[in-house]
Amino acid sequence: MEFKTECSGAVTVLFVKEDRLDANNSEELKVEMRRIFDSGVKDLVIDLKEVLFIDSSGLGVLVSGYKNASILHGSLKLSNLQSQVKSMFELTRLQRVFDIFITVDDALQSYT
Amino acid sequence: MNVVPGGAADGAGDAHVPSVNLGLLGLSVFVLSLLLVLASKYGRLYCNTLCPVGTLLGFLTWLYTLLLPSLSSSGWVPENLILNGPFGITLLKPTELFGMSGMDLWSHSLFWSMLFNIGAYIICSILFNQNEQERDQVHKFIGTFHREDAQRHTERKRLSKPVTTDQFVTLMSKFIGEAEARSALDSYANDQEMAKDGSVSEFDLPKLKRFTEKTLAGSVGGAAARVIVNNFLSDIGSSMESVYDIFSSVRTNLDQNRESLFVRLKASEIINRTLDLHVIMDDLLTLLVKEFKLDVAMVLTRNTAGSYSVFSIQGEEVTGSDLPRWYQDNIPFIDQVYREQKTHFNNDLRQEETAQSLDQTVAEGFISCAHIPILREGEPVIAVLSLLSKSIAGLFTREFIELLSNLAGQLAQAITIVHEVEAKQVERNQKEAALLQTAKITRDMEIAQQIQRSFLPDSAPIIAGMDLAGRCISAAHVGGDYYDFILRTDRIVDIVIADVSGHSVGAALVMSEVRTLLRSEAKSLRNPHAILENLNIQLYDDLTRSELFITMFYAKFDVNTGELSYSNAGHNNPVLQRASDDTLCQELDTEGLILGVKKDVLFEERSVTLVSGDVLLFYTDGLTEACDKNGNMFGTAGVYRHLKTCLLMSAENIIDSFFDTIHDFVGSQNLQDDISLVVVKIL
Repeated sequence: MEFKTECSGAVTVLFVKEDRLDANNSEELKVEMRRIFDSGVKDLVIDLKEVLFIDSSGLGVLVSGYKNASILHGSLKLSNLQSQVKSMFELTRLQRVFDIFITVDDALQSYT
Repeated sequence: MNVVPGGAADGAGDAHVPSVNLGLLGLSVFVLSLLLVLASKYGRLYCNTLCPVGTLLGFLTWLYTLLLPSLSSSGWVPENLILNGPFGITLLKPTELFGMSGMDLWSHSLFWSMLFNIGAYIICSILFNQNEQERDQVHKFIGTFHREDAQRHTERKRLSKPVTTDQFVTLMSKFIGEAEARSALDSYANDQEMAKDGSVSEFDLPKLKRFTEKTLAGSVGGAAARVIVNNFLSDIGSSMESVYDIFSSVRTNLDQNRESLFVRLKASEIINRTLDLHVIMDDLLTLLVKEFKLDVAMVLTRNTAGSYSVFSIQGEEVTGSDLPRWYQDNIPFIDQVYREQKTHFNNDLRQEETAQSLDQTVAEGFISCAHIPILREGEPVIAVLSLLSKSIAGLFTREFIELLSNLAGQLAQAITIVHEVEAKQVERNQKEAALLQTAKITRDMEIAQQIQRSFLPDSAPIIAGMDLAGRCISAAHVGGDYYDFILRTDRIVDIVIADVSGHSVGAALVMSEVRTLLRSEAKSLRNPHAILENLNIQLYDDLTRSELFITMFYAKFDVNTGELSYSNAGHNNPVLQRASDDTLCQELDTEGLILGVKKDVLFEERSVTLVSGDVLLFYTDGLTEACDKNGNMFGTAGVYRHLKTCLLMSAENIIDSFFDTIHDFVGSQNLQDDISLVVVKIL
């Protein structure tokens, strides 16, 4: 799975460079998020601009990331949700759980 | 005796004339002999054939042009022959040969004799080459004019059989007496720092031989001394032979040489016998040491840090893979072999400049060495074959090096093969491990699948007024699908469909927990939203721990009233197709959240009244996310579209129809997720 990680102050932005986030690669995202949180980062923005499809496994990984951030008293925010991804969040009502932003900048703005 | 030129012509018949003539005859013979010696000395052209031929021709000419006329004047030969030539041919007149007139008898004779002698000599020299023995002969005689020192440092010869100093003493004793011989040799030995026990190193023997010759030369003359010493040596079975001849076994044509073939045959036997490189190297080095009288043979390898270790060694004891201490000064040469991929050899380490750079090796007693790269054509050096000898200088002839390079090439091939075999073995092991791992995962999956299967109802309950059916088909990866029918009374049934995220034994275990909880919840007679809320609280900790979540749709249907009350925990919305209006598909959804994300979640509950002919389809995401070969998903649109076509079917047939459609849709693609369908049809 391809990622790009950027740091913006205390916030880390993780760009997921895949068009699918499913059972085949979601485990890698899980490992990457754990690595980022283990490195001391509390606030993480995951940009899903390139993700066109997400399944329950992908959602599960984001949910567990969200829970881990909550335990650390940090946050996990999302940006750039494409239509299928967005409808999955709506279906599961997870859009109420996550802070979801249109752009990365919007997400970073929310921290200031 | 007064010799008067031209006297023979004037004084024919004079009694003194023959004696004068004889003197001049003797003089001319002397001149001819002198000529021969001088020509041999400066021309170095002595040859078996030309010596007699030149001499014979000169002598015959002398007989014909000088002796014959002299005898004729004494009346012993017909005068006619002298005056008119034999058979009347004037050109062959003994006194005017080939028409040469105007010279006196002596000059004429001397001229022709010398011409024939020298002419034959030169022509024969050009026509016939000297053979080795003749060159030797020339050297024995002609070399006497040279100082010995000139050749002192070029040792290209050795004695084929070792000779002791005592034997030289015995030889010299015969000519100069034993005491003299002993003291001469002792003084020589002191000068040369030779061992007192009489053993002479091979290298020193030629010098000792020359010394003996010189000593004898004092008594019998140089040429004779050489002959004596050489004869003596050949009598005891030793002779000077070309150093390079000792390896006639590896000389010239490798293919035709029996001993070389033997070594190559043995080597290839050794190489093909085993795949153990250590055994191959040990055996091969042993073979080389034995066949070529080497003192140390080893194979060195270089690690990435550039230092060397002994892979195999024969002839010297080493501990571990450390190089022998004395060997260290050879390292620059090994570096060079690695760098240039060329053999480096030195046939006499005692040469001054070499001795300095290899002082330890020389001190250890080695006198020749060769380092041969072990490599395949066009590839980097794998290792170096290093051979050293303490006894034989000039061991590494071109032919020998060729043989060794050939063996090194075979060795490189063997090493490459062994490495390939090892790599294949590693690959095979990895594959087996991967297979085992896969088998283990497959086994886990099978267990999970069995657990999951065991939780699903064997069949739907039969309730009057409604047609109920449910089925799950498994994908290659086992999913976390779950559905259940729980009868509260014979008129009220709870229908639940859920999907545990993740495909694992853990998901299956969570599902078993869900099932247990649901069964007890249903008995509590609570409404769907309350059941989901309670379930969420009870499952939250386990789901958090296992990093799983559950989507679930919970419905309660009362056949008597036709009322369906439902709550949704983020599950795919069931689709209601009304019989009254086949254009309208209704999705059943409520507010809520998937289970396991937050602990305190309020679930909305709604209700809808179903009438006869209505069909309600519950499904899991495996249905809408099924993909065709182009990656297009079946989607909710596909669900609506197909549902419309099967309104008149029984619940069971609707499920069949959906699965048929999905199979056609995905074609040869594998299902990525389980698909569970539950159909409720109001009768």
